[in-house]
Amino acid sequence: MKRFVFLLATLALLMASCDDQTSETSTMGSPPDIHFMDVTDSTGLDFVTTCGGTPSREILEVAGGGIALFDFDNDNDPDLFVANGATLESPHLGPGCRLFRNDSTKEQIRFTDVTPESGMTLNRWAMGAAAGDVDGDGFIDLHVTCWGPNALLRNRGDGTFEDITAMAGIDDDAWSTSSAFGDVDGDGDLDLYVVNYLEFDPNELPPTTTYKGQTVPTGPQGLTPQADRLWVNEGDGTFSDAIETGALDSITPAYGLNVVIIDFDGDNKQDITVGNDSMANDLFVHAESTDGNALKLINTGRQSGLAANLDGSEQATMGMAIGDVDGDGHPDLFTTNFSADTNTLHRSMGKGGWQDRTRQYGLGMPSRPWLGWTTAFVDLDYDNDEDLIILNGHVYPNATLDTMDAEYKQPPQVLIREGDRFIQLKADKTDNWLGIPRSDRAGAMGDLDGDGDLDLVTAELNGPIRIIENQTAPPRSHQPIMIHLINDRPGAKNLNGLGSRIRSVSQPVTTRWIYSGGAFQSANDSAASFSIPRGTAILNFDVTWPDGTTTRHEIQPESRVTIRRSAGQEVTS
Amino acid sequence: MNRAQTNIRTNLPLWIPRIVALACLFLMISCQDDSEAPGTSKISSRTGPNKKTIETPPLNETLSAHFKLIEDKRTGPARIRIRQWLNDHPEDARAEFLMGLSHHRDRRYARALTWLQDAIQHEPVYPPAWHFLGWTHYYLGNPEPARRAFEEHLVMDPEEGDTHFGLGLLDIEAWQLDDAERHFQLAIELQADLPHRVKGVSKAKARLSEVIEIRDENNQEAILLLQESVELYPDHYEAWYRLSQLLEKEGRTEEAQLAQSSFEEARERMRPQGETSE
Repeated sequence: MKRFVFLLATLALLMASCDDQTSETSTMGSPPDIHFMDVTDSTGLDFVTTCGGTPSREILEVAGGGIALFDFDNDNDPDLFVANGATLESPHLGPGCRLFRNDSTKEQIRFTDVTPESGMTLNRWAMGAAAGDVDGDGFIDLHVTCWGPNALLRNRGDGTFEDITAMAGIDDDAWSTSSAFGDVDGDGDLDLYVVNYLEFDPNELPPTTTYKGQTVPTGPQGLTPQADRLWVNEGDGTFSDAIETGALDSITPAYGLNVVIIDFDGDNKQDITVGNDSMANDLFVHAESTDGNALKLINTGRQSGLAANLDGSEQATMGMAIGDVDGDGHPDLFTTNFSADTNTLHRSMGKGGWQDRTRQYGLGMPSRPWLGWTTAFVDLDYDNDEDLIILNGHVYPNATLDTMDAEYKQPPQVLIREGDRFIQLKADKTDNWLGIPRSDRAGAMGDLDGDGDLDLVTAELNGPIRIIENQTAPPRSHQPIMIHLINDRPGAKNLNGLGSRIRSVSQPVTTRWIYSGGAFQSANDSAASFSIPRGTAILNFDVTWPDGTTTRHEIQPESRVTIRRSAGQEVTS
Repeated sequence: MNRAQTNIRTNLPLWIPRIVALACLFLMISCQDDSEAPGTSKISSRTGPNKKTIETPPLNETLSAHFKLIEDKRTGPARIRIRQWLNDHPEDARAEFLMGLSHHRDRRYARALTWLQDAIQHEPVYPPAWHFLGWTHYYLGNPEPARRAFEEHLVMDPEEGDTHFGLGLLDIEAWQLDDAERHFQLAIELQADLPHRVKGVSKAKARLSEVIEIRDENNQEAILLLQESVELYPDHYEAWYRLSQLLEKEGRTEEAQLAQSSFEEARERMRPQGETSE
């Protein structure tokens, strides 16, 4: 009898605990089955990139070309620009960059090559792209970084572009990798930071070197680094060099690869962080001007903790992503690095200081085999905290586990946030993207099909452009929304609010940034993705614009939401 | 334990292994390498009273010579000779261990892994193979196998401070800070009286400071630990860097700048030249 009573009690306990679980899952719904599918074949996009030969022989050939997702025709979907390179045999005349118009519906992602009619004739060795409305005419322009002369392409608004580089006065023959737009001087228009790498002459190829006993292309060590350029938009179609104007005393030459422009230290001014290859990263923040110059920037990379990892190691920073891993509203920085090293998460401690907290979040040791490029924070499982996407691939064609402890072709990774840790998502049998080794380099995120979640476009080194559709079905409890900004304040020229912070005021408070740069040599669509509870009638968002003004907006939850600055109520903090 | 005893080769005159063991110890002392590499190039010859410690059987004369080549960073010639030895003595676990060690020294961890696993398969109770297997997995980014190897090593040699240090690092990776503290404390205590382990103590103090800073938010104690660390081993540039960052955080700007200068000087002295970034 006692045994029977015990059994009954045990059963009751089990049932009670099952009930608890049911009630928990019914609040959130079942966790979504995260699924990305390579749908390139059905999109009409069939394009293979060029960046030197295969296998790579020189450092100029290893990084591939970037991409930009930006809405050039103002039809509310991101179009695709591909910065295409050339070859060592013909470095000044490659197959050319491409522009693809997004003709997608919610049911089908489609792209159409509109390069000929766009007037784009960039056949040089292009490396990367940044998108921003430099003249404030309501149409997004493009800056294309190249080995050799860069190009600023003005969007005429009729589907065509004109090269205004010379007129803008931003000629630069250096090897530029990435660039980013931001309103650094706070005058309402977009300034431009151009990241330069090193001196490389195809006619005088450097001798090879060794890595782990293997012969590999030389660089970056052993080659001459180049200084970046900050171009200040004068608002009249021209730009000034920030060093010449005294805004910057100098920029130390470095092997620059990436850049992000947002307000890093919370002073309501746009700062610049630069990711350098095997050299200290930079953080240019605003200082008080002593010589009457309105704009004065100083490099606090070392003091802030962003220059290096925990041990002072100056890593080979390639990808950069901004997120808020600890929910404190301050921007944290995740960077991808070389194999045999770890990726790094710098957590903002407020007041302009960062600490390497890579290991706290489980991002260190497991990343040692991977050589990472583009990365992005995205909430893939609708739990409000952001997960990570990382594209990988080694630079040395002779990389194998045996020779370099890392394979040449490496799979992309999706890391899901669980508690304080990021856990790698395993590929399943149906995946045709996750888990498959490639030579991925650049990537950009945007909502290609207008369903509210972020899709991905990737560029493989000397391989295809791939359209990776996010097919994750939202849980019953939540829905995705994609927020775009329109900065329609009178006189404002930063149309898309690059550098803005968007905060969901409703619980749980979540913070996202719309920023230029970060995606390696590439530009994400200027939008922020949120997950919101279904059935919510009105949502409140605070937008802190690049000039430091915060406005509150009530919006109705739709898959695509446009927040106009003029529609918000100014919030005083 | 029994299995260990049956694997230990005892067919040499007693004085030969002792001489070889002493020679190994001497080499170990003289060949401490850079800070985060497997810190103890140890082939343990512990003969203390701790009954739990399994003595590492010494290498024979030929393999000792090959080991010396490895310690002299002549890993290529060492491998040629070890391979010749293996032709005549296939499945000799000690030779396989040395082959793994040579790759480990060259930071080719995947190659080292294969040889160390072979060595362990052929002689399961050979403590240094487990120790270096742990470090090899660590550098390959395999935390769980690294932990298993280190723990296995500690069963055989519970007083090996460098293995405790490795486990402490794995605990930090797992963000188990209390466990990390325990292992770092043991690493310090077990190596404190060993003059050739100054670097090991320095490293453990530096890592312990991380725990104290983050878990306890005790910057003052963390700074003291880092100061002790760099005093013991002035080439420990990582510790200098962290010291400069912490001093900066505490507003001790001048001291931070001095530490930063020391960091740069130490890094210049220690950073390997001639290879691309790693």
